[in-house]
Amino acid sequence: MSDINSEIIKDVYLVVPAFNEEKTVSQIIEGIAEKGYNVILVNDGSRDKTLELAIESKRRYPNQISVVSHVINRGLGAALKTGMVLAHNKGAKYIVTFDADGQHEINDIPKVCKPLVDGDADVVIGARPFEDMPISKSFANLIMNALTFIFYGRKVKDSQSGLRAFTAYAADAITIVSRGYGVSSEFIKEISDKDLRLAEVTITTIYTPETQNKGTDAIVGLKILTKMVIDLFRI
Amino acid sequence: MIGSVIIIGPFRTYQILLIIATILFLIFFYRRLRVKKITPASFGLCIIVSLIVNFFSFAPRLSDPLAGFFGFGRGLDLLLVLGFGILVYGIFRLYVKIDELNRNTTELVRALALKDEIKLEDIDKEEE
Repeated sequence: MSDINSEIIKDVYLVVPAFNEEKTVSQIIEGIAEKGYNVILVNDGSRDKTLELAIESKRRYPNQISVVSHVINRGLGAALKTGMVLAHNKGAKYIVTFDADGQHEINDIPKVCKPLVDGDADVVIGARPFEDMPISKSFANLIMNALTFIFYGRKVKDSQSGLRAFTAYAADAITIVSRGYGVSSEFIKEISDKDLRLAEVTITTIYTPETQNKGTDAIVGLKILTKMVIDLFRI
Repeated sequence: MIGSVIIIGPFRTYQILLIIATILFLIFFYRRLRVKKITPASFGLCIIVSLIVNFFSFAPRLSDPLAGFFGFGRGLDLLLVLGFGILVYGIFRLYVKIDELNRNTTELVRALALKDEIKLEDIDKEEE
């Protein structure tokens, strides 16, 4: 496992967007805080107890966990942007996006941060091995990688991964307008457009019934494709 | 030549339906005019559009020369293609408008969230 020292850990802010994640939210944000990282939980208009549980977690780690809440659901992209803006305002040097559904391994955080700390990259994407995915997911992700390459001209191993790391400079340079899952492809577009240095590291993915129900499926894929086509007409 | 094709025959079903639809359409906009939701000019435009549509429904072949100018065989084909084009354009405009509204809403929700970052002291005060 790659490691980063405790001085740098203080400069790392994890942005965790959450929509109806009461089953996993406490475990995820407390697990991250326990390792010494700063966490920004963005409650995206959840209708369950996500917000209440996040506040309880904040009581346990008041200096490390920050909680902001969208009054209505605005989508993954919108929640990520809110979290990244707040991280930037708090003086983060490195910003990591981390899904709240429990599919990422907390021990992978140093792995995605290391190329940034070493100065080898501006953005790091944690690539999930497709062979570990259920067939439907790996097929959908394969198609999304192909579409991301066709529309945005960048070949990546996993365009839809939720575990990404950015330097403060890169996070500031990237402009996100997608509200939904299209944000993952939009990050790739922005990395290309802004000539940011990209590194990919292989990460572990934890598949549970909950994590399998989320993410890129055929419908989400079609929505992302529609957005990519419409974006061609945008000035 | 044109005069020979202006044949207003007995009413057909679609013509009767069109007249009913036109009357309802004009009543709807007249009521909006009375409560000043639309301007007299807009209402005038509604009347002109209704008259044109009804005129061509009673003398459909009159639109053929215009259709021929654009390379269509019949006026009806021109109407269908025009209608389709207008619909597609309308849908695109709607999409852009809705997208803009969505973005503005998101900006507002974000600004609120960032302004009201949750502070334990505030929650404790509220609970007291």
